[in-house]
Amino acid sequence: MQRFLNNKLLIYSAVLAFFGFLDSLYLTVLHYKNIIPPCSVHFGCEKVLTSAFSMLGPIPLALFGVIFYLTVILTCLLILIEGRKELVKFFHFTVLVGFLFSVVLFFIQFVILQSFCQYCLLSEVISTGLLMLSLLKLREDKKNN
Amino acid sequence: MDEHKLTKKEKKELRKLEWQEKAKIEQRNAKIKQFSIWGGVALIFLVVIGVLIAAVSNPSSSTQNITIAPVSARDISTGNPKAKVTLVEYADFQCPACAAYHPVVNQLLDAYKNKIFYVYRIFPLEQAHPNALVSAQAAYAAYQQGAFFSYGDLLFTKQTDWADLADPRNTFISYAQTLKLNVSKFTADMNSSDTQKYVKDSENEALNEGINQTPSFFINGKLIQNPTNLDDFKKLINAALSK
Repeated sequence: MQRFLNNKLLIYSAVLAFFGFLDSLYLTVLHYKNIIPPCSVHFGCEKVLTSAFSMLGPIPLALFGVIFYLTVILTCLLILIEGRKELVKFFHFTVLVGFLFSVVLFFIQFVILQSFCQYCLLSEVISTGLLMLSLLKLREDKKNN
Repeated sequence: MDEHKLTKKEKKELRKLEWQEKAKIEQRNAKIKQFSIWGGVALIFLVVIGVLIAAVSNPSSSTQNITIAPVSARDISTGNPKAKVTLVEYADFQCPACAAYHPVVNQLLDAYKNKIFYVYRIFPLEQAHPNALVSAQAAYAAYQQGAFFSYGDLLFTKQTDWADLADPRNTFISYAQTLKLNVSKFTADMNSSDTQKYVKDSENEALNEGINQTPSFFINGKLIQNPTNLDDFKKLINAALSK
């Protein structure tokens, strides 16, 4: 239990990543069920989700999101439950990769497509939140050492 | 065993055994705890995935309570006006989701013919789609020549051809030619202030009613969650017919 309490930032990261997982999973389910989300008054979600940028080869980007968030959750849980401290570096690395990926996707929406998808924006906010938690964790670990 | 009768060595041995036993139990408890946490996490994931897939797959009446304007002579409609079921669709010709639903709606109208009264309400999402207004104006111009639905078919099926054009008017005129409409009347109507007013009024009405997405379907005035396929749509229509 003490290990849990000492790793509050990892718990927050796992919870945040869980919301990201739900968001990406929703878009993945829509993709494989061939459902185009309705057009919203304020967002151009369907334009983003039906664009060429929504796929990497035959794989929808949303599925990469699912894998990314699952990896973050599993890593956090392995550190929290099993005490696998050697995975902390991997956690920071994964979060950084996810954030950089989100920056690229935001750029595509903002500059190329000029449309925003609320689900994609949510995922980008979550990956930014994860990066901030990861940086706080780095600072905390440095202080403790 | 009476501990007082044991030698010092035996006592030490006994304590060691007790300590080992305690450690074993603690280890086993820790493993059970770990296993329970992993099991709990796996269960949460399975439940969430199941709920999400079920929610996406099963259309139903929406929980949103939106009251739409009653059907009037001003509406663009087809089918039997005395039918038991009235299906109202709010759609935007530049909306890809509306284009995806368009063949489903057509199949539905074919399947139910006189059992259904279909109303198409123009709801151009001009903030998201730059050609939404002008495409709606073109469709309304076709309506004035009695060709709204066949023109709408063209707009939806060729949506990707005109959606990104800076000015799609010439393309819309070519569609009017394809349908053998009176092109000069069509062009004048498409750009007329009356048409612009009708389209803008329709958009404002939809916004005032609280509709925030297209397509939005209403069966007998009740908003439904968009069905994922024709069969699911039929189930909802059948349920309304059997009431």
